[in-house]
Amino acid sequence: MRVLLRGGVGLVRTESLLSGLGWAGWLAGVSVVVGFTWALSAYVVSDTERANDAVRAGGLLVLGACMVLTIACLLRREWRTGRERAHRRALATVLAAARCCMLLDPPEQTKALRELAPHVSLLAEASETMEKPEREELRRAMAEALRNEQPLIGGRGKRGQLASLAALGWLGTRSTVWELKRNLHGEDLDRAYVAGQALAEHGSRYAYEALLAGLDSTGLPPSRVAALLEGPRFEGAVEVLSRRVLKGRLPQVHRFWIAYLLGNTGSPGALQALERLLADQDVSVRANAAEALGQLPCRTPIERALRDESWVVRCHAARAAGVAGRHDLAPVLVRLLEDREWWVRQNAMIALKVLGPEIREAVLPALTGSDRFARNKAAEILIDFGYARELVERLRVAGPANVERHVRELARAEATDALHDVALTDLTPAQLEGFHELLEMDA
Amino acid sequence: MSAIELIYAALMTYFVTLNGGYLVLTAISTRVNLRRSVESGYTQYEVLASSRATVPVSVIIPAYNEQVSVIAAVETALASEHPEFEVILVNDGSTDDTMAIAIERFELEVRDVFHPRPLETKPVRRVYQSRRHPNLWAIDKENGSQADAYNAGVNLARYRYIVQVDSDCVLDREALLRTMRVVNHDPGRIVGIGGQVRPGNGMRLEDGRMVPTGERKPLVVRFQEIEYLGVFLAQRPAWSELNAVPVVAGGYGAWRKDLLIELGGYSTELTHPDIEITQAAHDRLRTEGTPYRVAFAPDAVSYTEVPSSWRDLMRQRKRWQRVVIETVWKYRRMLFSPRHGSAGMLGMPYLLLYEALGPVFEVAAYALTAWLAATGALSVTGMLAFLVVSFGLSMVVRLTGVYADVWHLHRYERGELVKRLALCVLEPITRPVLLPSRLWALAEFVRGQKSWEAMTRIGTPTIETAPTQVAPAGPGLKGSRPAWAPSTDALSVRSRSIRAGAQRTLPGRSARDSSERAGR
Repeated sequence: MRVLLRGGVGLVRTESLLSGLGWAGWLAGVSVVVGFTWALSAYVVSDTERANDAVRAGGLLVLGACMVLTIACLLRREWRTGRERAHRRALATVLAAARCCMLLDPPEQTKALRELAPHVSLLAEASETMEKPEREELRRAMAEALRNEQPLIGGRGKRGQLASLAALGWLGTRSTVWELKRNLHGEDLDRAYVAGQALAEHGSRYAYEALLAGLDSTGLPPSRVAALLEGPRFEGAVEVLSRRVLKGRLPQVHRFWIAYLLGNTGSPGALQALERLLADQDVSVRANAAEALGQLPCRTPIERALRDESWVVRCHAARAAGVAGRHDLAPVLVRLLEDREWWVRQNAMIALKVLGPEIREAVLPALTGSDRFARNKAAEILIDFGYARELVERLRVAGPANVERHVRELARAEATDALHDVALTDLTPAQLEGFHELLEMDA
Repeated sequence: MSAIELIYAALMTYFVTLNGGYLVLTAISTRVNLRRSVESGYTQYEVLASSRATVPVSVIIPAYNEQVSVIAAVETALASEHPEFEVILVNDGSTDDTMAIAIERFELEVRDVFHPRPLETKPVRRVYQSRRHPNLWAIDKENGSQADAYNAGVNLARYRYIVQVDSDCVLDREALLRTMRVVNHDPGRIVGIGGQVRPGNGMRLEDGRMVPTGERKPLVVRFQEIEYLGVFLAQRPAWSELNAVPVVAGGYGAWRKDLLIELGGYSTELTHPDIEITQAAHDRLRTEGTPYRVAFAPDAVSYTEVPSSWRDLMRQRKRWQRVVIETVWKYRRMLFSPRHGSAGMLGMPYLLLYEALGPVFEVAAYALTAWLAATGALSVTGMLAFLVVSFGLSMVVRLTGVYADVWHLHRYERGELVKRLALCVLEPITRPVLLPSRLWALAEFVRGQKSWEAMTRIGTPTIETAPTQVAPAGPGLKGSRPAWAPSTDALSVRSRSIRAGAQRTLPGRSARDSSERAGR
């Protein structure tokens, strides 16, 4: 282990050296620029000798810069390849050591695992190659061994420290939450983000609440924190989120994202909190709550949201009705095809398509409505449900008189193209002629 | 000092400031690249890829006679790892089989879409939606221009951010995620964001990723690889730090839809709309005093097919040069305007002095040096001085570009890296070779000419090599349009009448869009 550690330190130093080489090349280039400015000034004041010296020096510097940069590029490539190889070896070593530790009796095991504490980030990474039960067992044993230890943020350089921080999440001990929370609220955004990820992986109630508090009090964008909150394994999320909504006066950012997160839980337990959020003063919160309702596997008050005064809420509620498969709301959605806002109409149309052919009877009346968009979209939905094919079949079997009114309706809805496309494949030439006559009559 | 000597000194100063400026930009870029590389190291893209909190995007791919490359462009866009996005292919009245191939390959079906059309475009013939990919739309419109095609796509786009991708470009799978990750950090202010464009010649598409085929690449392609690295890794990040990005490349870039609509869409006056829209954004937002940022994501990569012959390259550069001159002329009010901040004090002067007028200075310098050398008025040291400041410093600049790539992003085989480094030394000689075409562009601008000579394309080979059945060209797949059907003009008139009616212009809405307004 010590050898490994010493090797790591050496590699970090090499990285600095290579970085320095690159900068040396760059600096040489800048020196040429400065030198030539100097040479030009000397030339202008007719100090030819000084100017010549500067030019020669500049030429040499350019050559030097090119050489240094070339060498730096090549060395960097070799160093990177070597480091990756060394890292793979280190992972294998740590993994083997951990497996050996797991074979020991409990007191010995704890002692041995503590020896591995400085390499916990390597261990976390290496354990990803293990089978899930074995990985979980190792994690639990390691957490147990380090239960009373102060969390260790080791590693040289920023990358090393970030890796250690990430490993704290994998470890999942209670003592690490405070450290992660401190980093989440710190000024360093990189550390904050990694701490957030670690809290998300931690999976405990404390970690979840700490991350939730980070929605508005960290430098991280709330959407990133919300994305992290979506994935935790913590099962009591609904309870935590609902309690917050039902209890306290939350800032708008919290209400907004909690509505979103409640939807993602997909748990009926979220209903009460979402109902509260549906009555929120803020339009965005209501919109998110409306959309979240669509993800709950129970009967929800989407209808109320579909009649909201704000078109943004109606828009999201329409989406929700589609996602939730609420066939009973089809007539309301059909009415929304005539909404005064285009985005509501569009979302209502998409929702109706999602609901499927069962709602065909509810859509049919819209074909003869007064609103052109609604007519057209109703036709599109019906054609998607196989209406065109059905009409063509009836035309083929029973003749034009049987479908005349329906074709007329589709023509009024400006949707004869799709009907014609079906007719082209299904009708005989003679039938097709009759069909064209029917269409021309409409035109 | 004589007048000739003074002119010579001035021209030398030009090269010194040009390359000196590039070195300063490299230093700033290194900082940005380093930060991005650290961020990329710990970012869990799978979390962003599966979260609905990630900002959704509309990808617009305009195509004009791109039957060779359009499928790869659309397929890689569709294969993007992003939780919510749509792809809009806009066929700008192609005369080849671009549309027919797309219809066949993606099972496109006609849709009567009535949507707000805040931007005026050439008439749209038909709108299609894919049966296989519900998030793929296609617009078949009359020929206008690339800008017109973009505008038609913007009209149909649902989401708040529009990603522009040329039809000869192939998107990296994570490009959208990496772009939106940057946007996520400051969605209130970031109005535009550029990505890195790399030459995709000599590469093939394998499982949605570009991998080298191992084929020998022409020297002209190799030189462009070096050049693109320098521009996208050693300069563009610095311009984004200075908030004076001169151009969000058409090959891959993103804009906020509401801004595009405010600006009246992409300008159809110029051959390439990308540089114009970037300067239009700077001009508008700086004049209004709106806080904004045009950012750059060096790790969001797209691959483009660059010219593989000197003739094509010269044509391309002539076109680019003319567009730069036209843009500088159009936005000349920004030049050295303190009101326009860094865009007016740094970005626009750079475009004028080193891009638009660059060929004039360079030709003057080469001619004067040759003349002075021929007449014996130039000493060996003077000659050396010229070579060092013109070519030597360029080599250093190019090497820093490759160094940035090796350091932060790319993994090269040893042989490949050695080749690249050797070519850095030779690359500066391409500048004099391209000078005639760049000068010709100046002449074209003065005469008000606009031309676009087509480039020879071979497309991006894909690993699945099943031949694509080409359907007959026409308005639909199943035969010609019947007599009863309204003409395309009539259809567009109908659409316009609906537009003028009840529909209003609204930005795309979704939970994430609302969140940007409300959550911050």
